[in-house]
Order: sequence, then C-alpha cells, then structure tokens
Amino acid sequence: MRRFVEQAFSERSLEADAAELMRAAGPTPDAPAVKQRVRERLVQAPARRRPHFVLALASALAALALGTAAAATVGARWWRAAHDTTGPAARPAPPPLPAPRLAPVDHRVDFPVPVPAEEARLPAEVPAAARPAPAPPPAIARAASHARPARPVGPYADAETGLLFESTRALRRDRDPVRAGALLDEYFRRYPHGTVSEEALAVAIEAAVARNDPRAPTFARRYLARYPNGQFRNAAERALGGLSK
Amino acid sequence: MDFAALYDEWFDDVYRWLRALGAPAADREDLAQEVFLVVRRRLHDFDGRNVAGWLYQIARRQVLRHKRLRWVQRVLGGSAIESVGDGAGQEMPLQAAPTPSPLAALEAKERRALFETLVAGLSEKRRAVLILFELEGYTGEEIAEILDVPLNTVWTRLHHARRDFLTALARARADEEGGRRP
Repeated sequence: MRRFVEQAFSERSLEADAAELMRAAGPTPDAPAVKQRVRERLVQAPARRRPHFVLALASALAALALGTAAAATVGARWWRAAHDTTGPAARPAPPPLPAPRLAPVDHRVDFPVPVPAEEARLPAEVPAAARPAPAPPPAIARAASHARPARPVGPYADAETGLLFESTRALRRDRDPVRAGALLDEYFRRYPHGTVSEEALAVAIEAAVARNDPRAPTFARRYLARYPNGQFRNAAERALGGLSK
Repeated sequence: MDFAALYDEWFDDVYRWLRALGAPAADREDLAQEVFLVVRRRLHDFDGRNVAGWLYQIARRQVLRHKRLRWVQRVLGGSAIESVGDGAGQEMPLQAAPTPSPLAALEAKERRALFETLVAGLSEKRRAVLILFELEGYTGEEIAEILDVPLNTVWTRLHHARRDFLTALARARADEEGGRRP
C-alpha cells in the first residue's frame, strides 16, 4: 500500500489536502539531545521508582475535591428524600453514589477517580473536616461550590478523555444523569476499547443508578468481567448488590 | 539482553511511538524516560521474542497512565494542560533552518496543528497505525510486529483511519467555510 504523501491526487481534492497536512506534520526526527538527556537521567534514577510527590499530591487533591462534591450530592439526595412528602415513600433508595475512594466521605461508596494504582499512595489520613457527615443544605451548597472547577475547561487532552470529562461533569456538576448517560453511550460507541474505558464504565454505573436505568447492573457486570481486579470493583459490586435487593 | 544496547537501538523508535500513541509533544521526553525506567526494571522478565512489541506495550501503558493523570487534573479544573502541541515535537536545532517566509512558516505551523487536532479525534488504534505508516515511514509488516497483530489488521485499521481522518478534515474545512460567511 502506498502512503498518502507518495500519491498524486487531483488538486483541491480532500485527499490532496490530507496529504499536505501529513507532509507538514512530517516524521518525528531523531532527537539525539533528548536521547542523551534521558540517558543521563536514567543513570541517576534509582532502579526502583519512587512515588512522585507531585503526582501523589494531584491525586490527593482530586480525591478531596471530588469527595466533597460527592458528599454534597449524597447529602442533597438525603435532604430531598427527607423532605419529599409527596414522592413515593416506599420507593427503594438508590444505591449510594460512588465517592472518592481516597477521601472516605462515605465508607459505602467508591468514586471513579482515575488514579493509577502506583500513584494512589496518599497521606495516611484525610483531615476530619474533609469528611462531612450528612449536612444541612447550606453546608452542602458551600461544599459543592468549592468542589466545582472554578472556570470553564479548555481544550481536552484528546477527544476521548474530553468526552468522558463532559459526561462526568454532566453527572456531577450539572446533576443531569440522563445527559451523562447519552454522552457515555456516545463514548462507548466511539471508543469500545478506549484508553479510559475503565473509568467510563465506572461513571456509567453511577449515572445509570442515578437515573434508575435498568442497564445499571449490565454496566456493573461488564465492568467486573473486564476488570475483575479494577480499582472501582467495589463500586460495581455495590451497584449490583444494591440493585438486586 | 543488555539495557544500554537496547536503549541505544530502540530509543528513537520509542520516541516516535509516543507520538503515535497520542502523547503530547511537551511530555514525550518525560514519558520516554518513564518507559525506559520500566524497561530497566522488567528486562530480566522479558522473554526476548518481540522486542518492538514489548516496548510498544510498555509505551502504551505509560501513555495511558499519563492520560489518566491528566484527566484527574482536568477534573480538578486546575493546571493548564497542553493544547494541541507543536506537531512532531521536534527539537529546536542549534541553527534554525531557513524558512521561506514568516507567512509560510505560520501556515506550516497551522497545518501541523490541524493535523494533530484531527488525529487526536481518532481512536487510539487507528491513530497509531495512521501515524506509524503515513508519517513515521514504518512498513505494514513492521507495524504488525510492533502492535503484535496480523498484517491484514494493520491494513484494515489504516483504511478506517484514513476514512476517519478525511471525514474529520472535511468537517473542519466546512466549519472554516461557515465561519468565513457573514
């Protein structure tokens, strides 16, 4: 098969345009200086990798921020349930929302924070203040407002992670599990074996539970089949258990 | 197998694969280091059969890990994560090559940026084959060995990758045209 850049396309055709872009992008040139720098750093690096402080800190902050948001969501649900005198009182409570594994806001839940296992070494204790018990709405609102990103999110790392981020934001910030589900359906259609599909499945479980979607156990079973030792296994098992009751 | 020899022989390939795997230009040097740290750690367990395939899978896992971390950073809404990057992530030469004109240089930069944006929308597998074949000059057989897949799979992925790329390009051009209209 011949490469695009080696072929002659008619002028102004889309293929010619594509070939021009590929020519402009060009091959990665050999990088002797990079090679030398990396070699020197490898010589200095210990054989066993040490936990990277910055990465660990980022993971901890992510867990704390999302933990607060999850606590707010759980608390808000609790508040609504406690004050909902018109709704069906006998309606079974939905299974608990996943919450940050690393910030134990609620011991029953697990939030799909995509932290690689190697980086998940956190400070031993999360401050007690970061573990709100079910709180009245004003405190919940404050916690939620602090947990949200303060500004709009710019360009994503790539389309795949962007789509997952949008769905997570729809679920957690906008509290719109229906839209989150639609975005996740799109994610699974476009990236059936995506690079963050484990996280996507975990979010899909949470979104399905939140909107009482009968596919929730399907997502949970799929997660457990694909990632029997995955970092969100507990959340999937709880979703299955909660739904089977 | 000797680590130093393996490093000398394969570093440039690994560096190219990081691009094909979608690693941002600014992060490729650090990722290359991470890859070879893992290689050094696991070399004694390697059976020595398919060096390219083994290295590629390590690189792939490192890029995946990196993407997950960036996703966490995104969720935090904090640090600015790289935009599209500068294309191939070339090193700055000691003496810059002469360019025809500032306008031509700008156009070339825009084309590189557009290319990177379009390939970022492809699936990981298709993007990898497209870049390895179309840009980096690997043969289908070499790609099959690196990815550890049958040759026909390479051609199928390339076919789909080209189609996806052309579709995305058509959409981008249509958007440009729409933006120009009053």
